[in-house]
Parts: sequence; structure tokens; C-alpha cells
Amino acid sequence: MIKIKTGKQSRIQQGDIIKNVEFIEHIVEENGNIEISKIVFPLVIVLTQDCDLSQDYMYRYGTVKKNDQDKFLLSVLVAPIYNADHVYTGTHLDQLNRKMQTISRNKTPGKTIQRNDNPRFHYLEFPDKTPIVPSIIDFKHYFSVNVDYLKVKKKNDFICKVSELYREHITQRFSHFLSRIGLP
Amino acid sequence: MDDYNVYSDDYIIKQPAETIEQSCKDKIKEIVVEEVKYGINKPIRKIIKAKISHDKD
Repeated sequence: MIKIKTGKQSRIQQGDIIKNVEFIEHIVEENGNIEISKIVFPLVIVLTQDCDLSQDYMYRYGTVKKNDQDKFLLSVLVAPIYNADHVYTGTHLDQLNRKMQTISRNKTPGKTIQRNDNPRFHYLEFPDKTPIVPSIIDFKHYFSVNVDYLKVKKKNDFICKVSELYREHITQRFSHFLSRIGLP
Repeated sequence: MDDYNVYSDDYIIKQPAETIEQSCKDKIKEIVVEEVKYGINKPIRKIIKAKISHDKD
């Protein structure tokens, strides 16, 4: 079971869990007609390092003035948080017409995920008072979000924040996933 | 003697206290507290279509 904090700060923080975050799949413009396709994720977690987020906030919105925007981030890395039950049945993306692998919850594949031994996934069990179901982060589905957009989103859609050490554990496993090497 | 709830000289509830309490309890039974749970919904796709209007010269 992880530890969480419910207090909200105005700046985006590593470990923030925010609801209904949009990912832009594509934008097409032709002959004056625009089509925007986007995916709305019910829950995402912020993966970007907190020091980078802190610096971006200080220089972008804070009182620190500089002649350059060197510390500004272009975007914030997040990953979707899925309902664990949906992940086990492979149905968590069925609204997007995507069939995912089924995972036997009570056998080795499911238990490996719950022990956080599967590099691709991170299992989250929240404290009883936190109104979030047991969930799984899929690191393979990470995406980036505009900094200003996410800051505005956080105002009304912040749920909670994963506490220190637990959030670093998640980001460290995400880094490991990204840097894995598959030897023949 | 009836038990009245007196708030001010201008506003006196002319009902016995027991009746008021019962009517409040009846109203409370109608209120359903829904527990908010996150993580129930699945990601969805939204497609927005718009037409760019060009000002005519």
C-alpha cells in the first residue's frame, strides 16, 4: 500500500494524480476543416522529476527573473493509471477499440505485477480513505502534456499526490523500463 | 403546553418540536450520499470537428 498526500499545491509536482487529462492523438486541417482526435484519460500520474518541475514553476510563474527561459520545460511526462481489474481482463482500452492481453490475476503473471516485478507495470494500492480503486500504471503508455495546460487542469482535477519515496520508486521504475535492453 | 421553537419575535414556528424533528428526519432519508470512486471509468476518444471561417473581403 502506498502513501499519499491530499494537500494541493498550485505547482505541478512529481507524483500528482490528476483526472481527465487529454492526450492529442492528431490534428488534421484541410480546406478549412479541422479535425482533432484526443483521448481523455480518467487518471494520470506525473512522472517528471520534481526538481525540474520546481525550477520550471519558479522561473515561469515565480519571482525569479532571468533573461532566458533555459529552465522552462516544454512538457510534462505523465502515464495513465488504469483500473487493475480492467487490466487483468485486458479491457481497459476497449473504449478505444484496443484489445489488450489478459493477465491471470491469481497466477504468476498477475502476482508478478502486484509485486512490481514486471518492468512495464506499476501496481498501486491506495489507503482505505483514498477514493481510488486498486490500479496499475502502464509505463508503455507514457505521454507528454503541455505545462500550462496541466497546471490549469490541476486546479480543478487534482485528486491526490503519491508521497515521497513512493513517487521516486515509480519514476525510477519508469526510467528502468525506458532504458531496458533486450539482448538476443 | 406545546413546545414551540422560537427564533425571534418575527418568526415563530407554530409546530411542536417533535413534528419538526420528524419532518427533518423524513427529508434526510431522501438524501443519498454517493461515494466518489476514481478509476472506474476507462479512457475514451473524442473527435472534434470544426470549420475555420474566413472573413470575406
